[in-house]
Amino acid sequence: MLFEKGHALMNKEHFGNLTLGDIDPGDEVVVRNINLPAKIRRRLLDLGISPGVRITCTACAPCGRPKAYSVGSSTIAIRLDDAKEIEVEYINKNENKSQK
Amino acid sequence: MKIKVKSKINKNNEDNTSDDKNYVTAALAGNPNVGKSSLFNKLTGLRRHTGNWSGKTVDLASGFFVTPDSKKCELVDLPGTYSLYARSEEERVSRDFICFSRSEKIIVVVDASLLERNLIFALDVCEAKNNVIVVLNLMDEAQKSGLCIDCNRLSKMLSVPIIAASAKTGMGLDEIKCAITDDRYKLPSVHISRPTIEDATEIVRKKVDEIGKTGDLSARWLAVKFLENDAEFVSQIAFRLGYSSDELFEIDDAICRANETLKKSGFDPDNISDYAAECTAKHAREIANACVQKKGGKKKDLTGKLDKYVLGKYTAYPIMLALFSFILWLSAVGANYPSDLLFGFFSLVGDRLSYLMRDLPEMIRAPFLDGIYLVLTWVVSVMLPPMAIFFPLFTLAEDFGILPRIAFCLDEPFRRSGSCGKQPLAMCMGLGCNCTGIMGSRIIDSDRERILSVLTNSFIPCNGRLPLLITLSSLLFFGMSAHVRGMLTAIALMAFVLLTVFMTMAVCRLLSATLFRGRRSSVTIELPLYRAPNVGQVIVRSVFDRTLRVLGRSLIVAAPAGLVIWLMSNLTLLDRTPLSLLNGILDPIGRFLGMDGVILSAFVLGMPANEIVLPIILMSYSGGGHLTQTPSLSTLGTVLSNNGWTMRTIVCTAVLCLFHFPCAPALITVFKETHSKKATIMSVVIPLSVGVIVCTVLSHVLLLFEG
Repeated sequence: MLFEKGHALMNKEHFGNLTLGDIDPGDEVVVRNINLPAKIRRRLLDLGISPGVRITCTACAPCGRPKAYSVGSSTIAIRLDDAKEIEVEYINKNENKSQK
Repeated sequence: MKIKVKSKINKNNEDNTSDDKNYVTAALAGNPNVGKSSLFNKLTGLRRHTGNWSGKTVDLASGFFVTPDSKKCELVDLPGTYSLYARSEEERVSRDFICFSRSEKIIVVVDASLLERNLIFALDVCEAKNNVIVVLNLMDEAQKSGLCIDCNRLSKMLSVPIIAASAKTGMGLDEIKCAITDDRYKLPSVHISRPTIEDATEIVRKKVDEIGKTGDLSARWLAVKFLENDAEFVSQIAFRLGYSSDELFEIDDAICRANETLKKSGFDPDNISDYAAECTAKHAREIANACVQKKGGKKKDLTGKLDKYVLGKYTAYPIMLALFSFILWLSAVGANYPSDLLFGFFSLVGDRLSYLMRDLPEMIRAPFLDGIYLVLTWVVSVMLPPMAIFFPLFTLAEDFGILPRIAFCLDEPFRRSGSCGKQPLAMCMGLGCNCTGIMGSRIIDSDRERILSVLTNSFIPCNGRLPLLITLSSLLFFGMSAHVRGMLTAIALMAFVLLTVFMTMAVCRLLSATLFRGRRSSVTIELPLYRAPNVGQVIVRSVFDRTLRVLGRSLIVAAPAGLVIWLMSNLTLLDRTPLSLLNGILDPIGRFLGMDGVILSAFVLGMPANEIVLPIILMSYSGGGHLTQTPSLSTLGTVLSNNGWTMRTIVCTAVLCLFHFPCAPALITVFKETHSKKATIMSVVIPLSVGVIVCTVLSHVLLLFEG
């Protein structure tokens, strides 16, 4: 039941803007907007995740969430709830993996 | 923790002002997991544990070294932080130390291979202070992975001295020592351009300059901080730098004027904090692009390949479970032999002591030998070997970089129970010793989740309780052939441990739905590259730093406990010993819970150190006056069944062993970590009520089977 909930969230693409939570390992995106509360947003900015930055999704935890993203040269895992609030745009979509 | 650490910083300030000129302080700061602690160890020669994961430094540590111009330098190792915009308690400690302590130099350690991200923090500090040195650590690793960093250019762009270093090879250490007292480097602090808010910053900066209370901080940086409107930090600034309320009012006025100008130009003042951070990040990116050249590398490939399995959908949990059972098995089974050797050794020494003390009156000799000495050596023999095996293994896993990946994989299950993926790490540490686990909970950012982790850590059977659990598990299959019994014991043990994990999650879930309701936290976990651990160093450090410290802590409480137990079993009160009286009082409760009074009073008396629970039980049954070594399994089985033990008793005792009150050292640690009597009481009540409930249910259900 809980898995279905997660699944619905992940297929949010047609709902609104594409977010960091929607992308799969291998996809490369550029950050557009971070719609999180000030403190969390600030933490992400300090980690180097700011609008205009390129991010690649590198891994996905066995439960489907959270996902890990490589920013610059470091790898950071962000919870899905937060990742869903980060609007992104595709640079590179990994076609082999996204057929599910 | 708050009070303790702050008083430490204050003390530091005073020390500095009062002391002579031959004494300086410097601080190591930087992002988590950049090798600050390794550098600290190399510089000061102190053994301080380092690990390949974020948040390892859980308290301020300081050490000394002598600079080349023979000044004594106190070096403080600050907890890692991602920015001066502090979020957790540890980060506040780092921030306050960097901003307000009067240390001679702030050494910002950056990971050369993660320059871009690390520079965000370094830039922030470089802008705030003008006594900064940037150390490019792990330079050898960066070079190996094909990165070429232009240090001269970097030094110019940051306007601070840059020292390329490597704690592993010892490169750059002498330069760091020289630079600490070298004042040639007092350059103007770096200028980060923030065009949109430049005018507003200027308005506030003028006011700050006019008042003149800037400490060691740059007025421009302070102005930005005032504009950012981080209430907690502003009040810290006002307090530390001694702003009067009038002056604060003037600053407020300037901020208002600045905000007006911003609004006029169409910029929402609420976005200042974000904008400032973005500008810093952008500046960091520009510097990194200008100074770093990449020639292609291989290092990351290994991490990628390993991660495919370690984080793989089907392989992750089996790998973790296998690793976990391996460590558990090795520390439980492997510990038997050294344990027996230690027992033998101590009983030899005991005989010798008893011979030496033969002239002393019995009233002194007996409590000392049969009380204090016996319990002390008992605790050492039972506790030392498993810890000496467990801690190095755990440390190896830690250095390798596997722990943040465990946090990553387990975040989701623990998120559902209201906690986060860092809690299992604290639980793993709890397997070694609950005190370590409780302290280790500091890695959790959110206060709410940290308390949950502190309160439930004593569920996890530590090395003091594991031997009892193993004995009980093997008693369950008493009578089967040794081979089958071994297998089944291992399975039963694993089941007990998984039960505690399940209980931890259930209780966390319950608590976050009732007493600790709150916002879900946002968790960011950094996954570092795998690093080959330095095996020799790991073993030496984990034995000295952890094992001996934990052992020392238990010995302090075990000695008086030994005396109390001896008195309880040898004095006479109303024709009986106090122990048998206690047994009698607790007996009805014990019967209700599927056990007897002897078992309950053993848990009560075993509170200082859980290792002695089984020996106390045996002592009570035999009616003897002192503890005796646990006999072989078959003798033990007979003794226990003669005293009315059944399958039901064994299971209930095992459950109570998992869920009762934390041992005395753990309770003290809970109080130290939370500074709250309420939390300390809760840490007793929660596991105890879980134990009582589970035992009641189990004993009554099992009673049906026994008929």
